[in-house]
Amino acid sequence: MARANVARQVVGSPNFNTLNTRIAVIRFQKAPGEIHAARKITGLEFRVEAQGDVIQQGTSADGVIKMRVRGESSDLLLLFGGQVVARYEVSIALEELDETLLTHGLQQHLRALGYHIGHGGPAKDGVIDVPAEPTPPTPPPPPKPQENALDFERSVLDFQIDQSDDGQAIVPNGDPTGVTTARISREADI
Amino acid sequence: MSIKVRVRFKKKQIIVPVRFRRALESEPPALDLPDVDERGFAMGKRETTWGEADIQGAMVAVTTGQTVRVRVVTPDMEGEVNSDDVDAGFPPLFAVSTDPKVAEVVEPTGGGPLPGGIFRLKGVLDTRNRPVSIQIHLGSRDGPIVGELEPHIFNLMPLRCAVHRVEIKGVGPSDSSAQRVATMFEMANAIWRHAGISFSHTIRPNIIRIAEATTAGVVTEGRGQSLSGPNEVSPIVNRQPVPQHINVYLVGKIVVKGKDGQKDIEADGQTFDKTFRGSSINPGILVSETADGQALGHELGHFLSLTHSDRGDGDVEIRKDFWSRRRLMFSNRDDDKPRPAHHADLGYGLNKSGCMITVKHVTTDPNDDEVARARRRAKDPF
Repeated sequence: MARANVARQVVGSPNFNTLNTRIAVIRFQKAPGEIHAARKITGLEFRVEAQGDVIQQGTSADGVIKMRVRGESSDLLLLFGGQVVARYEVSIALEELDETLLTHGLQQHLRALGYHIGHGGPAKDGVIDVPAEPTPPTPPPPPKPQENALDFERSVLDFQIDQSDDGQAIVPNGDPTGVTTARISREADI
Repeated sequence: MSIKVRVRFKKKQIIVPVRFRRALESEPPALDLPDVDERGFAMGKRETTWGEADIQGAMVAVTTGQTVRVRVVTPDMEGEVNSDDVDAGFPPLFAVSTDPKVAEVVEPTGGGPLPGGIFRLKGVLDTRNRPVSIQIHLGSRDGPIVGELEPHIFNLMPLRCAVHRVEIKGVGPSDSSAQRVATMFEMANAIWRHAGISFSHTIRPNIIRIAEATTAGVVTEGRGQSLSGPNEVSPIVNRQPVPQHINVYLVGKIVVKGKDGQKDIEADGQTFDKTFRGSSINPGILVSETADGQALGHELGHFLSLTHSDRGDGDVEIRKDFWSRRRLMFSNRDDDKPRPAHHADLGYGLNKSGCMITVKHVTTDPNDDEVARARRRAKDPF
């Protein structure tokens, strides 16, 4: 196991070191959504790096990689023959999925399920909107052009088709409609 | 080049690294550029002769003997990788057919790496209940399978068209030249070839002349009934139809009666298929001077039994999403709301109409299953 970079404390110091490592479960699949044997990608060679050290490596037997996230984030690298073919910067958000399923929450759910919603937004994970602070009722602001609108709409349509959910995804201002909220919440509870 | 992944507390994260696309998005239809039916990952209801497979992804239709290009995209894999690296075949992916006697990957040699993500797929055999998959492997032909495409191969069904030039009160379309007709059919064939249907055409030497009409050069069409004054449709389609041909009539303008008090609209075409109103009107297609090859392809779709992708019973608008618009059979009408900005490019160039003919049968969509439906009608279209 690789060593982590931890500063030494002086003798008798009232401070202490905490190394916060959590587990993120990443599933690689050929299609988004529910666990299905045909969807799993097996035999992926991977490596996990944190602060420049290799902290984990192996081959995923069933498409599931339980990776260690040390501190803010760790990097998950997919390899083939020792060559890096993909690199993911994985962090863990402390907050739950936004269950309001307004645009922000819907994007979080779709992203968690593996639908592609682009790479925009403040965290560069495709989740564009940030939750609005509670405010007194005011007239809604005029709709604005949405980043990654096409990817978002397509991901909603993909979800609807996969769930036999007959709705049309998007009305012109970019708000999703017709998504069965209970269904996507259940699906995302994976 | 890293991709940001933010896993939510107590949740798991799924990553789907590979998807399939039309090889050159934003290009017009071409014989080797089929639409990939990438609507969702569920496969819908397959035709009984297509066989069942556990593939979950996209479908593509290919004509026997035809070689087409398909693109693999990896938005959740490559991150911000240099486009030169993608062109050179990064990430290293290999396309492998599970049954090359049905569908064969012919380029690149050895199946990969895929320059620009593109591989060439040849339809070899139209057969029953023998599902085939194009598997995308990571790293080598034996590497992990990261995605699957389900091709369906169809023998070519040739259909003949007879093109008639029509003058109404002495006025015909502004351009009824052989060059225009050839260009339109070239486009229509590029759209339809992947469904295994081709259209040849001959231009009839005689001009159909209609003396009685409301307005010179104009068909005032109300589903086969005149809006006011003489009915131009019946004299056109009943005058000189060529048997065992799809009769296509080039006219000046077509004005279609608005529904429920809405204003009349000018249409690119109007089709009367074999199920229309019994025998009083011969099956045929009216094409206006504003029509292009996409519009002809759309009307040929109606002739082959296809319905508007966005309309339900009573011509009521039921869908307005990206996929409905992208389809060849989109009505091209917006009843109430304008389209969002991101619908301006449907994949064939900015502000170009859609050309997709669906392969999947999404059972919640009453207008889906277009390849199979059109091929059924093409066996007996007249």
